[in-house]
Amino acid sequence: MGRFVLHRILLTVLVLFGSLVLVFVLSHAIPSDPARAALGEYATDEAVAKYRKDLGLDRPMLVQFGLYLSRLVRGDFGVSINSGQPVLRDLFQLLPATLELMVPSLVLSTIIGITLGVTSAVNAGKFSDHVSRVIAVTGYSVPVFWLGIVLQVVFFGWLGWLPAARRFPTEQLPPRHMTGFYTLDSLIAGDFHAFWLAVHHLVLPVFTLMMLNLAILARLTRASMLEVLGADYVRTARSKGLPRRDVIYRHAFRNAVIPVVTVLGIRLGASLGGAIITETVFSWPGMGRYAVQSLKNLDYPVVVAFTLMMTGGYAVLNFLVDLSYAAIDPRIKYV
Amino acid sequence: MFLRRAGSVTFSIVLLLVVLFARPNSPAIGQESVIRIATATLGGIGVPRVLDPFDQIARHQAAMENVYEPLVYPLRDTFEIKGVLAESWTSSEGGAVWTFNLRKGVKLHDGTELTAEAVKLSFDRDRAVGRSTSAGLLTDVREVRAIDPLTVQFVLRLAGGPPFLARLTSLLIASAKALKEHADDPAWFRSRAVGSGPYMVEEYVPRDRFILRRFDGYWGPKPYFARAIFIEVLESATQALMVERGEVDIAYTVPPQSLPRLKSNPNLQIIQIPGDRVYNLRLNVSAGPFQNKALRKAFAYAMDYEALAKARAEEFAPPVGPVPPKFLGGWMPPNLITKQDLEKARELLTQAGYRSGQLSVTLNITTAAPIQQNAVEILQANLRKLGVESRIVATDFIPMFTKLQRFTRTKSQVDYEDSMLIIRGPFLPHVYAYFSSYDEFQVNVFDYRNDNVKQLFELGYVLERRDLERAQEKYRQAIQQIIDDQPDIWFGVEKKLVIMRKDIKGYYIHPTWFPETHVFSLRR
Repeated sequence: MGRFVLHRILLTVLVLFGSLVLVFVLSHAIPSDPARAALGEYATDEAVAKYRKDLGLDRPMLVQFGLYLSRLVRGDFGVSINSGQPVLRDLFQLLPATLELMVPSLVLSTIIGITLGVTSAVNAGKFSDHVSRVIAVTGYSVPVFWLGIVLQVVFFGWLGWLPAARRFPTEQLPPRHMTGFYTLDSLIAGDFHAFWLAVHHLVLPVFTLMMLNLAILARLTRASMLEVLGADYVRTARSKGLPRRDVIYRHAFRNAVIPVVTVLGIRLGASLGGAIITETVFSWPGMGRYAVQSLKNLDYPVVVAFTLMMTGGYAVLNFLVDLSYAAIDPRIKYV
Repeated sequence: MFLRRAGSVTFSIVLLLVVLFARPNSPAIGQESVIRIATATLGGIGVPRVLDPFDQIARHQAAMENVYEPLVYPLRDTFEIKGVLAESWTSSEGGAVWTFNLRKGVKLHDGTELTAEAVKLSFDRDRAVGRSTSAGLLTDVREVRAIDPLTVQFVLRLAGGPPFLARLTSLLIASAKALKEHADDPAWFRSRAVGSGPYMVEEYVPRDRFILRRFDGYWGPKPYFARAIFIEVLESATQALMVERGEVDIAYTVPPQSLPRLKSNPNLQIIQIPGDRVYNLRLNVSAGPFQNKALRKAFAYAMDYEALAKARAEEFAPPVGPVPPKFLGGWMPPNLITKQDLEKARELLTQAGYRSGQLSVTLNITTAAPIQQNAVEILQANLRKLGVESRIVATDFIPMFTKLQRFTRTKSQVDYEDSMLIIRGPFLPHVYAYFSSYDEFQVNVFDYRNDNVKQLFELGYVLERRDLERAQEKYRQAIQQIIDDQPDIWFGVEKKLVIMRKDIKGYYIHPTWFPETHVFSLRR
């Protein structure tokens, strides 16, 4: 187990370094001038040259990379070209907004997706199976941005039930910053009205973000369960007269869930990508929207830092998923 | 058993959704009047990226003009300049020295009074930072002198050049006290604002919201709205929905396909005017095939202007030449090519020495710009009919513009391009700089030169202060000369669009600037 963990940590570091090299080279290979982009077309040549020098962009790329790496090991991700703030500070300020969107969407998509998949498999060919398959196929095939806009049109434009965008009503001050999660901050402050408003603003973006994961998990769980439900040991369990619930959960589901957990790990990472689109559609001031704006503004330090965080998050989540296999299936041993 | 559990889970979810859909009542915001404005930073006006008035790219300056004020500002729909912080002014030494008498008793947001020192320090900081629109437009100012507390003097390196007052409109004035106290802390102004404008900054969250509160000590008329809330809504479809539902009062970016629906909404008013941002394909007049005037004319005749205006009817209006007629007393240049004539184009192509299949050119446009894409695609299709091959290349504007500026200076083959589609404002300094050999501003891409044009512009500018009619005559002659030289193909002008709730009054689209957000001129 210890060797396995060490091996995986080393591999993760290698993956991070590889992605850092790739993103750094690619972002600097774009035939563009971030200093001019940041200062605008009217900025004087002297100001652009000075800014380029301040950013170190006048030095060879290898030197720039070396300097970046030496700062990075000290936890310094550089300064945003556009905001002039340390990138890490910007990203950490926006992280709670992104997590507040991602966590409920992942929890809900996992619970609903797996429930739908199991229901569908257990009732294969029946009405509930058809319904859950329709939900899964719809969630799978509808693009995230389109779903977001349609939900806005229906629930905000037509019905007026839910807000179209943002984390909190425009004219009201958000709860006092403690964790950065509006729902938690309002609960800590005992302001249930603010909590209510924050939850209301979460409904559409969370639903939009969870649909794709939900569909994938539902389909995969159904397929995996159907395969396991036809296995000999399940038939044996049934013939022994075990209660239906025990057959499904203790014998079938535990064996069927391993591929689901693998995909869940991958989807956790992919959800970050979905969050970028969802945050843009719903004007959600999170890390994803910031990354998109930074990319448009050629803000290299932000783009590189964001990609590193994404890669790091992805690698860690997959590592945790690998570790979870042993907990789910005792036959799996790490060597 | 399992089914029962699944059923109860589903029921719980449905119940949760029903509860959530019961919209919470928002507490009343009091009696104060508020205006809410949806903006999209990407591609337009918006929440300023920083509050520093000396680090302000043009498209964000409009919102900042509620907080900071310039010495002078252009009047609506004309080039005439009115005093804002300056009450009066004189020029001497042939226009090389400008003396401004400042308004008395102007209070700034930190309680200090406006002085000549504030103007000098603002200019000095603007020059030192070197990033703002004004820094780029005022490069010919040698120094600013505070003559006495209420008199300030701008000394230019040379007389003439683009109209100085028009360029000065972009210099915003900050508090002398703040400028002195935070001279060594460049980050201070990024998140704080100390101007003299009718609004103070109440809250600023970059990339999210910019909330202004009425400044009670303002020297001018008291604005109607007590608060103005600018929020960033990137998605244009969302902006359309928000203004329809009354969630915001003004939206600037809506999808063109939603316009018919919005126009039929009785609660909305839509301002859609043929604007002033001219779309022109600048041809490389200083190297390569487009040095040949007959070829430039052939390309102008090859373009199907009507097809473009029809394809983009909601966003684009037909060509009017380098300057929209409203800026020249309604005058439309008679020699402007506005209709396609392929026969004439073929004739001119032969005259230029090119037969079918002998010429291939590159048409550069900016990425993610649908109108530009449409324009060059139509041109490309028609050029093909003449046997001219063309390649459309889409690049980010800034790198391409930087490359072309470099070419203009060095004429290096490495930076050579055949053409570039440029969108240009009609403000006289832009027009002048774009078509004159006065290269300090470096926007005369490909270095179009005609001494006659330069002289006519400068003469017009001198005459403008004495005889506007004669000045306009000179400008018209200059425009005719430019059109005759055909350094550009003028595709048409962008329409300006603002969607507002019906009860918002007092909005106007400034002719010479980005869609403005001057909250102080609005009321409900």
